[in-house]
Amino acid sequence: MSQAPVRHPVALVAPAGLALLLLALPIVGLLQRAPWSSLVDRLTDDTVLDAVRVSAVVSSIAAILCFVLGLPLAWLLARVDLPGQRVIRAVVMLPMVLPPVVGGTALLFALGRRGLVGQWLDRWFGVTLPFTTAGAIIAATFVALPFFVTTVEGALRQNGTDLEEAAATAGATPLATFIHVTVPAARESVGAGLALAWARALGEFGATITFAGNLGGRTRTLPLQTFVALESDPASALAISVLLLSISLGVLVTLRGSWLPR
Amino acid sequence: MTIRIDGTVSRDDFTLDLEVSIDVGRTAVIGPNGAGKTTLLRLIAGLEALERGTIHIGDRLVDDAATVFVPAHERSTAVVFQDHRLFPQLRAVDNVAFPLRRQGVDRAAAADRAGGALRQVGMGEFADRRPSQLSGGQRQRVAIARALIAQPEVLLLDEPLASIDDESRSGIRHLLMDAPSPIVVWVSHDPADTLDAESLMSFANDRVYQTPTP
Repeated sequence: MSQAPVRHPVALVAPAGLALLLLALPIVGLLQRAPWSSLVDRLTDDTVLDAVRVSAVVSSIAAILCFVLGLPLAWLLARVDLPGQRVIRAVVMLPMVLPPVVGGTALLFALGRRGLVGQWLDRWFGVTLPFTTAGAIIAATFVALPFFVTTVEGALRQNGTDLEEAAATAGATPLATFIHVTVPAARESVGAGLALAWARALGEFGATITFAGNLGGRTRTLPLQTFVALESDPASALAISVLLLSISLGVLVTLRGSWLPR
Repeated sequence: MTIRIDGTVSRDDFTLDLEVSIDVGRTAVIGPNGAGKTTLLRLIAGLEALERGTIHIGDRLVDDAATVFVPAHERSTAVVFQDHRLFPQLRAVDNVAFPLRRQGVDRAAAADRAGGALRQVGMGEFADRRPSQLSGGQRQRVAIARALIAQPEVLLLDEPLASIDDESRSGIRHLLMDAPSPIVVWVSHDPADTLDAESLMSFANDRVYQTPTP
């Protein structure tokens, strides 16, 4: 039996095509102007390598912090009936929609040397966060955390509690159940959340420049270096952009099938 | 040893009043869906708590609806669920070793005992398979080995044969009938499972009737 052809509303094709063009055109523009022949030289330039190193350190530690802090938070949101659950969830999601520069400003007033918590960090421990690599890591973690938490929380909800109950009746304490059953059952989403959070941390710009500044070798990450180079050496900015673009594509390919539909 | 429940728990649409005592031997639990049979098992296992009343397992007060609630992992009960609930990332042998590992038995000894337990349920040659590589009946055999390995005093069976094909059913039924736990509580729809049970508990019309079988 042959199926009747589905009728498509043709009027949608034009705006859909425009949307696709809007998304694809900048990429084409970037690739068309990229300095392909000198790409390697430009990416191995000392200032760029400094930025690569800062970015690698900042984004990796931010991803680790997302895992260490975000996994328990995702569990809490998925499994525990919290008072004020809606407010807590809004707080967790906020960095996804908040302008990063506002996030950076908020971090400055909270953790800066005269900030709410920052003044005590300074007085008691002699710790200063703004304009340090640690500050850049905190800014990156701030913007990346919701990506990890929401991805993992969704998986925990979807997995349900059946296996956790089986573990409890098999003699596992709640903590052992979390470590040996809950997390392994959600490992694909944990991996996807990590990749997303890392990619977001790598691309972070606004909160970093506001809270951690733009200090070469300490807080100047690849996005900041791109911004700096755009004024003085556009070809270098293009080369870094090609690098960041390929990393983003790499993350998308990694996520294919686990977080994104196949 | 006796399990005594005297209390109430409310479900979505009704309140379940329980005044039951379950003695050593096999107790078959029957009744329509949604009557509270699974709730009974969950209360004994420590997966749910009473709203009023008490639960004793032997001399031990495990739930008094207020200050005392012994959590599932501290009760000497094991459950075989209708849907095996094996841990998908673990091989069969590691699923069976799981309760021993949680008791602190070292890896090698736990694997050794788990291998023996798998052979007892006819799954010796599948020790290295993951649950996704086993048939429904094979998974349930592994689940039974996992439930029995820590030698629970109370074995709770929640329709363990309901999703097993006819061919495998009688073999698995015999495994469960031979289970060495002093108290076995078996929820089932199938009269074949209730044969030879020492007592019968039937849920009907929001009430529970207990009769020793003749």
